[in-house]
Amino acid sequence: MSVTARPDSQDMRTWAVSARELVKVYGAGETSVTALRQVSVAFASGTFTAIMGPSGSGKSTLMHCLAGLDTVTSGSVLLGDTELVGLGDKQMTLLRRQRVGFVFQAFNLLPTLTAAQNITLPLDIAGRRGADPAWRDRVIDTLGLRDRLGHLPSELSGGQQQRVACARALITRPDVVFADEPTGNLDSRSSGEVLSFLRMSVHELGQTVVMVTHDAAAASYADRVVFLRDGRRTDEMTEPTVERVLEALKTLER
Amino acid sequence: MLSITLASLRAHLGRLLLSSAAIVLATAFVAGTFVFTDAMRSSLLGAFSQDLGRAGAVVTAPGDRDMPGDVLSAVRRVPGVVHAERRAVWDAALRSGDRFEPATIVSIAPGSTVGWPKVVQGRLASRPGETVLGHDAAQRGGVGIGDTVGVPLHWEGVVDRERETRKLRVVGLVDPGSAPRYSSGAFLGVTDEQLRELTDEVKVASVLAVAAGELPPAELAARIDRVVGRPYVVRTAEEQAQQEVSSGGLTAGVTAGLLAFAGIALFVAGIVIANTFSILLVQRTREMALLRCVGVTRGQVFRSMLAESAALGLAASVVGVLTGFGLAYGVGAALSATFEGFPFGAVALSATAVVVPVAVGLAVTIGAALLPARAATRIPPVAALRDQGIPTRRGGRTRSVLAMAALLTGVAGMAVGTLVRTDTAGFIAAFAGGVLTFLGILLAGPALIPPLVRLVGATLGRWLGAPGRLAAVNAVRNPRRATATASALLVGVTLMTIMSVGAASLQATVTAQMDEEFPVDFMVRSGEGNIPPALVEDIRGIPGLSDIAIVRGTTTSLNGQKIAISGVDPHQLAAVTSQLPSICGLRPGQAVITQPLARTLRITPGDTLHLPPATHTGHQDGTGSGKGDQDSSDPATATAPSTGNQHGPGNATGNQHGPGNATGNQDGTGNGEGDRETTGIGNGIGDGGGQARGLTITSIFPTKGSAAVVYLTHQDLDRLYPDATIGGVYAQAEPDADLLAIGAAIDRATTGSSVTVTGTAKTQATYSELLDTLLLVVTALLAVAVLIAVVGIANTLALSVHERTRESALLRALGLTRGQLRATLAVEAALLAAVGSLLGAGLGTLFGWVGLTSMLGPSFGIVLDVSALHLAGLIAVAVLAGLLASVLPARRAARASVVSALASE
Repeated sequence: MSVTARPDSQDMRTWAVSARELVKVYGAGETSVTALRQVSVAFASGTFTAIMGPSGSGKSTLMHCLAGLDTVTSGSVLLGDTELVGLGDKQMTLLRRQRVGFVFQAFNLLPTLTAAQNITLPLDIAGRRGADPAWRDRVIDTLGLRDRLGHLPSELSGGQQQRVACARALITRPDVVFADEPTGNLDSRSSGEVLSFLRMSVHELGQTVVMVTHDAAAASYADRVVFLRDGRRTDEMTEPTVERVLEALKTLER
Repeated sequence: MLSITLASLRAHLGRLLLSSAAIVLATAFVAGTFVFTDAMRSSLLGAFSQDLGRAGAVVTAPGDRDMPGDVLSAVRRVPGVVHAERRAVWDAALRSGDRFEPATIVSIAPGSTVGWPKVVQGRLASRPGETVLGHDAAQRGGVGIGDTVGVPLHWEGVVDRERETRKLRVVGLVDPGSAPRYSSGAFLGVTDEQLRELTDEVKVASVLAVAAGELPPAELAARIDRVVGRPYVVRTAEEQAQQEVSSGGLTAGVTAGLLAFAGIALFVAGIVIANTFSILLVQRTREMALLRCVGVTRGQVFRSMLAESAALGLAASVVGVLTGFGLAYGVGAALSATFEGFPFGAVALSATAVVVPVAVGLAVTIGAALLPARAATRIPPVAALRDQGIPTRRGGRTRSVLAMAALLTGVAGMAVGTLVRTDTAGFIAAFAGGVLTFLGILLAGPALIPPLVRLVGATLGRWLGAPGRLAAVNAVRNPRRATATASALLVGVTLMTIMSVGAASLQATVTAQMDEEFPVDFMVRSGEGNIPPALVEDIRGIPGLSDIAIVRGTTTSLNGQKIAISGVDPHQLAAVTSQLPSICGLRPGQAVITQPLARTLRITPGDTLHLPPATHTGHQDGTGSGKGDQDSSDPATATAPSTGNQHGPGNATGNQHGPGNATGNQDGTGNGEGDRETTGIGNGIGDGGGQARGLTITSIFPTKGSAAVVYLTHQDLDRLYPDATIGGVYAQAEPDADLLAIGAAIDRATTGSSVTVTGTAKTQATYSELLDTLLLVVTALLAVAVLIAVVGIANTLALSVHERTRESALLRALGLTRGQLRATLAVEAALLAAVGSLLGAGLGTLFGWVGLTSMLGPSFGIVLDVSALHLAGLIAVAVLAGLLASVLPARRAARASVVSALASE
């Protein structure tokens, strides 16, 4: 599997999402804060990548920019072969709807909809009636949600809720799934479950996952870890283990 | 604690601002009502005091009885009185030339120093036989000083020129001013002596006293009171005017009516503001719990909530009062500009107009905060540490029991009022039942409205996709909130529907009753049968009329029974009405007779009727002249069954004063010769100079009344009765013509001639204009309540949007476009509005029908008519208003940045 870090040296088509010289500045004048400084990074299709860094390193901002949730100040973001920079809100929204999946730390589900309705929500929003039934069943079974479909979120445990969120992220077969601290609110057992499912979705369902986390244990489930510090890319690691990641973080914070 | 309250007010000001709009609107209504009616009253006071002139005191007899002369003499002897005169008023008529009009005749003392009415030209009447005339009436009638006017001595609503008329010479023209009593018809001023010679039926009599120099009116009145005493009432001029304004009941009625609508607006505002407080409380649960954590007591929480609502209520009420003042002046100015003589003058603001609305606004706001404040005290301190709202209490058994009890008794009351009793008690039962039912529905709202929203939402969701489905779920995620929001709208829409159904049903009932009778758009008829041909041409020239039929006729006598002969042109008649096929199908040699006549003459279709010659040259419109004027004492008709006031052809003999010459022209009876001839009446031949006077009866015309009419063609009429004159002109309006304008044009054309104008179009137009105006006014007043309810929808939505910030962000991240998000909120608002107005339209229809039936009784033949267009329009406007209410909250929701909303805790 290709884990090369340089996006410009490879054939673009193999990248699910890539950024080049990405700059994000919040505010203007003296109060402005630069969150990302010339970040270039690429994520290959069918891989599970973790983005790590200390608080304020810009990892969430990077994810928001890559996912088309936020605008960038300069640079370029390619989702597949679509340039996100310069797109209007409507085009960006439609792009998210069709080609991006999300799993957030908390508040992933609409409290008024059942698990099944939450899973198919992106299709519903797009006006598509019913997913490919085979794919839908495969996602639901992979995540072990078959007997929870009729429940409201308030009737599900935290781990089950995150699994519903994962299923929802996968239901459209997106180019890439972004997970923002997906285990931040979970106990270690549920965390392990959710992370296993994310890895399973990459290796068994062929999806692409980019996960932002500050948890070394979570990062160890990924194929590759990209490190950020003060809005800059500093380092990366393949086949991470908890020990190696913790070591790298220590170096980063020194 | 006060500082915390104020800080919390400041922090939530934005959210409270919209909800306070409901209070502002309602208090503005109350304040506006007071200012408006005060201004009206002061203006009326000015008008009513006008005719008292310089008089300082007024003596009246109790019960508007006449005033004996010795009271006048007594007042004249009171020290300080320099002039006293007796004033009497008689509602009469004025005849100048051929014109008649209602007139008010007032006695005025010669050499009066009261100073009213103002003499414009000439002088006051100083002796019997003289009169002064209101200058506008003089202008209308082209009468000047030195001319003579006639006053009919008997005036019972119908001008009768055959009776006595007193001639009076005009010696002066006066201006009676704008006092309502003299504002309609002509004004005549004569001496007291002359007035008493004209009539002994004076309506109002009083003694007016003018004081010397500086004597204050109160002192003058006191002195007079000491002399005349009981049973006479002595008032100062100002008191008298006030008394007259109050006794008219106009301002009191207007005030009561407007305040009733203001009360409805306040009720709706109460629902809206209570709902707002409840929502805010849920959003502030953690804040409240935190306060409790740091040691704030339950009592302090309760008082803080009430203090907040008091501050809000006070501020909103003050703004409302100012708004109300502005509105009242605006409306008053607009009304005076539109309707000449609308009583509206400038007034200083009364204390009532300020204090009452502020007090009421304050009370409603605090009252609405009571329950939420009590709920606030129940928030446990530990809630500060949890991310959950206060557990919402379920509907409560008390509430369900109350709702069921109210519904059951209410429905029973309505059933009794409509089905069992139809007297006043029945109406009261139905009314109370309706109110109880409505309260029951409001109480049962949480069990009723959410399922309805879900039902409508499921239907809409199928068309509107994800936004529709999301909205349907969101609208009822908090059933109480949804119920309160829809209920506020329910109140206004229900009341509007009641009015609409009531008006439509009344109109349909009137129309149905008229259609049973003589169905012609406009009928110009003369009781004396003397419509001049020029008038016919005038009517023919009125634009908007498509066809004219002329009815000519005379009267004759048959077997002692007076009958009317009506000649028509069948083609003309067919053009003005499609409802009289038998008469429209007449050919020369044929006749149609009315049922009562057929019965007394024992004639059946196919028989031959021999018509005698005319009895005199007084000519009648055979089809009669409208309701009520049938002279049943006339011997010619006394034998026929009379049902009194039937419209149409039923009463052919209106205004007949001919002698009942029962046998004068009968040669004898029983000399009919053929078996197809009717017995006993084939008697006209001898008089007829050998002409064939027999006509074949083709049909019997059914009629409810006692009318004895023979309808024949113009050809036969001319042959048999060459002296027949025009008795009626029937006119058909073009399909889309302005019936009111045509009616007015016909009235203008016929002014001065003694004809009556009736007809279905005229009656319908008059009714429908009256009902439309009434409906419009009531709808406009209820619109305030609906507006407040719409503010409530906007409010609920804005607060919900605030609550769902993160939810909206999640949806946006998942690919919901801004447009879809806005659509979701718009559909949510529209759903609440649709359910509120649908339920209101249904309930209003029921209540309207119950009200009408219990008021008039089922035997009255009530036709329940629902103007589907009107109701659909009402619902459409409500839904549209709901959509509009969603615009601002939706904008706010759509503008929010996804990233920051997701990050926000």
